[in-house]
Amino acid sequence: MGRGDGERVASAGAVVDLGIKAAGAYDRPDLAARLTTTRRRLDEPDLAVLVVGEFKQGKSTLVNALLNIDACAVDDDIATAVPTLVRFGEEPTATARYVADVGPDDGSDGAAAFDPAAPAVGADEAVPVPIDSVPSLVVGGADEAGRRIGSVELTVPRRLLGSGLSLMDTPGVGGLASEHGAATLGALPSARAVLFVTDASQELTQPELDFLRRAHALCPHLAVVLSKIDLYPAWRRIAELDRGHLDAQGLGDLPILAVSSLLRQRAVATDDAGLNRESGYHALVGFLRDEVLARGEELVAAQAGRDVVDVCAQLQSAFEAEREVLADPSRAEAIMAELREAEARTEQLRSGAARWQTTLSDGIQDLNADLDHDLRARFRGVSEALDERLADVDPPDVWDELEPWFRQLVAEEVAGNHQELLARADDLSRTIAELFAADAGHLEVAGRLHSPLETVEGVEAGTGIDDVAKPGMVTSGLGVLRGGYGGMMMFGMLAGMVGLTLATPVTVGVGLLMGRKQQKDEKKRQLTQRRQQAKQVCRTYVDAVSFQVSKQLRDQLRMVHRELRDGWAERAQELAQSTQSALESAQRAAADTSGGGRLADVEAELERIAGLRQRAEALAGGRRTEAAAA
Amino acid sequence: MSLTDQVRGLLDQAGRSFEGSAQERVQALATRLDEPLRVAIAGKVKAGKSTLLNALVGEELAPTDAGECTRIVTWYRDGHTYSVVLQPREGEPRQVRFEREGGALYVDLGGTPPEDVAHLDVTWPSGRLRQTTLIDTPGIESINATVSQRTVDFLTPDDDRARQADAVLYLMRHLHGSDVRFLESFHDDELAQPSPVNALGVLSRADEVGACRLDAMESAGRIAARMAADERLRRLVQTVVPVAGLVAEAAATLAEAEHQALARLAGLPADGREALLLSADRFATDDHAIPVTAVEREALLERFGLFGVRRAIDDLAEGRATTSQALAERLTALSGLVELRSLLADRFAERAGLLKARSALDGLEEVATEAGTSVGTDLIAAIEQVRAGAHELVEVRLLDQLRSGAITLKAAEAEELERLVGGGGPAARLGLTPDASPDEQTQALYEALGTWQSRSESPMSPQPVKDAARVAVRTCEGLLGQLATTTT
Repeated sequence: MGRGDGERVASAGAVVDLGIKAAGAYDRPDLAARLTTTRRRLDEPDLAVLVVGEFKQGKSTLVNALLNIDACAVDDDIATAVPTLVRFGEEPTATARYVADVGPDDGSDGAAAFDPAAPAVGADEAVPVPIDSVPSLVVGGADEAGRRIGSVELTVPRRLLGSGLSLMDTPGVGGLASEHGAATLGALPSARAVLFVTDASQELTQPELDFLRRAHALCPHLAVVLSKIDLYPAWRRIAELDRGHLDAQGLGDLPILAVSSLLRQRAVATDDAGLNRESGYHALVGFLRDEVLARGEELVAAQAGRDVVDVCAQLQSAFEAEREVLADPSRAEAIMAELREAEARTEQLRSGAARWQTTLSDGIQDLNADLDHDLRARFRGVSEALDERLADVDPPDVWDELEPWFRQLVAEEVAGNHQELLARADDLSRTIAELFAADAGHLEVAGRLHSPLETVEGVEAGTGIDDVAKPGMVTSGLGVLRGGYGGMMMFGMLAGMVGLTLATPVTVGVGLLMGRKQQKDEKKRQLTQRRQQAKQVCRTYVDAVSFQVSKQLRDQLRMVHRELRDGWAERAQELAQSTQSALESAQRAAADTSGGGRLADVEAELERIAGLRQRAEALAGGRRTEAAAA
Repeated sequence: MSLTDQVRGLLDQAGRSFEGSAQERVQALATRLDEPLRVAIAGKVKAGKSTLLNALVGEELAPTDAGECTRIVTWYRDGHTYSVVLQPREGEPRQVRFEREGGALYVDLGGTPPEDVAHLDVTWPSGRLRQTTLIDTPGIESINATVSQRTVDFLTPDDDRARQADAVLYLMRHLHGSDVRFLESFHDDELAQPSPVNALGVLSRADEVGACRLDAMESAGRIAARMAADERLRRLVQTVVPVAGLVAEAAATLAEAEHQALARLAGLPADGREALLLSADRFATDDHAIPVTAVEREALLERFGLFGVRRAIDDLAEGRATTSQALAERLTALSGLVELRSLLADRFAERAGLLKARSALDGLEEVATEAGTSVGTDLIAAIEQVRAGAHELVEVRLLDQLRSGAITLKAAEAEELERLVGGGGPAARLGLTPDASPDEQTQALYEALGTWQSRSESPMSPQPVKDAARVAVRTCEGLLGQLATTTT
């Protein structure tokens, strides 16, 4: 195998462990703490896979069959109504996140204090629930007491999930061309990969292909799963036809995985390997393993490698300063002068007036204003579209059609705003990384020393999901927007929204006592009134959504700000510490009287660190070559 | 004077006063009044429209395929000879050649591109087509937008020409938002409100809803009942019935050889059967130990579907059917086709006159409006008079209002009223069993009459309820008269 089986992660883990030991041995607990975080991320990456598709295509059954659980609700008739996230846990547990039905005047404070301990944004309350109750919660979207549920999270002890993989079953209610469909699109950029489920009863339809095209642009790791092949003798033809449609849409690179969940479930129940092969699930598991897990592992391993290289560089700088002075005591003064200068620069980096600091707070403020404006502009477009649509109809006649249309429109715009947020947050994160590197980068010491900061420069700014999916050095700060919770957030934003009802117009007895002309005028007046009423209902809805989304937007940006600021401040602190110890080492060396003894020790230490660094570079390099190939 | 006679009178009058194309259109409307009811089969792509058409005709006429298949609107009507006429969008209709391949008709368009064909008109001697002309339509939401546009054009013409179908069977695989949108556009009639009068919903491919399990049709029945009760759908279709089209089609055309093959498979030991029926691939497995060749089994699967094969083998193995005829009957009943046929007879055939008269009135109104002359204006007034006066149409309108919730009544009352004005004989309208004696019926009618009479006069009733009650009173009076004439 060699892919997706944790081998890379294991070797990366060994390197990180050595790094932690080294940092401890050289009295740098700060660096050891950083690597401990790295180590944790390595063990539990957040690789969210979204399961999406039209209504009644077998999405929940797929999740159930894949994991051999029966927690996702499966029914001939009713469809999943809330997203369900399944992730690894030693014990099976279930948690429901309730949502508060919001209105524009529900009194809650939009600028609530930031609480880092609060659960992911969009969830107001997370409550453990019995696992047996999950299917009914997921289908009904509310508990017995009628409290509305935004999402459900399950943990199950399954090996497949052990490496950080999580599966999210998305609501099929309303189909792809609906509010939920739009929310699904909004959740896609947070996902590591997407499984698009379509059954073998017929070839892909136009709405499905439209969705696939848009989804592919948002999340390139996409596979089409052709389900229910046990029921349809002609599934191979359907697969061929689908292949043709995908090719025609320029989606030729998407794999089509034909599966039968029924056969899989039976194969697992009877432990029948032949039947499991027939079920096609080995290809699906293979996709998850090679395309999702293996790539995800490569990413975290490379990131871990970069972290260790960085730590090594900082450790090296102190020993190198010492070695230089020991080797040529006459240069001691010059070296110390340079180190002092470096110290001053790191001080500068740490201060609140550092360029990266001001750029960050300005950037967040800009983002706040721009995204808020973006949202307003989008909702203004929605209002215009609504006016146009209402121009020549009588609202009660078309309400059944208009209401879902309108909700979908609003959801699309919310999703669009969310995508804008992700893109802009990426940009900001990259800018900060570049600024930090630039300001720290002039710390070249005596030409022969490793700058403790060179690795910062060496890291290319990441682009696309492959890089930003992993909260790491460059992208630290975006963890809150990615992964399973990031995906749920999109649904959370819309979950609190209840339907729009139009009051029945009162028309009884009109015109009985009026003349023809009067009657006509009265009818016209009433029609205008009904249109106004419809607009009002829609506007109230938009206000409610807008209120909810703006609040979440602010919360998200606050978290991004905090994560970026803390992350880089820690780095600045580490650098200060590193220059400090380099300076101390140099001073110690200048006062050294042991002759050649100390020099030999230092050389030996340096060699040890260089060895570790080499291994770490190999790990980090693997990632670079992959990026080059892609 | 019956509604049809009134409409015929109007058409005669219009025929005399118009000239040219308007006259031709009026004449076409008059001819249509004497023709069988036109029932269109519509639905999303791959809903199983052609398969259902074949099942209804009892012959494999319309070509069917796993991929998207029907691309041209095709009429199937009864006649003395076999012929296919191509009606181009522009130009004269002409006869085209066709051949049958495994039963299905393959028409040679003679070089005309499909997009230039308005429709194909297939004449086929068949008793099943005598009462109704069936119209097969391409699926909406086709990958090929022009194909699905053809259906939309056909059912909801923009160019103000009369709708070509009198009634519609709308096939749904499961309730989707876009289905409802489509039904609404079809029902954009003079009430500017959808009408359940001329549309029936069919939960098609019903066997697949329950994953082809042996109890799949029961599951589908529950879903259909839920859909029929859905408020949005209630306004659009009378009811929803589940139909497993493939099983129905295969049962209608069951060959003895197929029965034999199925019987041999039913003779296998139970665990062997179960393994064979586990999946479509397994059933068609290339295993020589099985008493039916793989090729034959593949053919069976294609004809019956996995559910049909499972049910047939189960029925044969359990001895519930022993002959091919018994098997065909069981499968037909199971497929839901029997129920659909009786609904078609009750709701459409019984009301064919009413439905056709409605279509003719709509068509005539369009001609008159276009004419714009004083003749046209007079005609429109006359049409209005017929519409207001014909009690059948009044009932239909009331039904619409009830279904759309425009009239507020208690659930039990609404149900009673809906049944009363809903058509059929007195027994059906009164909710009595069909064998209720005339005396019982009369008794029940007087009771209903009393109830609605007082309701219509009660000062507590809001105006719409009073109006509705008055319609009910008139219906009761009419039924009493009908009973009196049949019993004396």
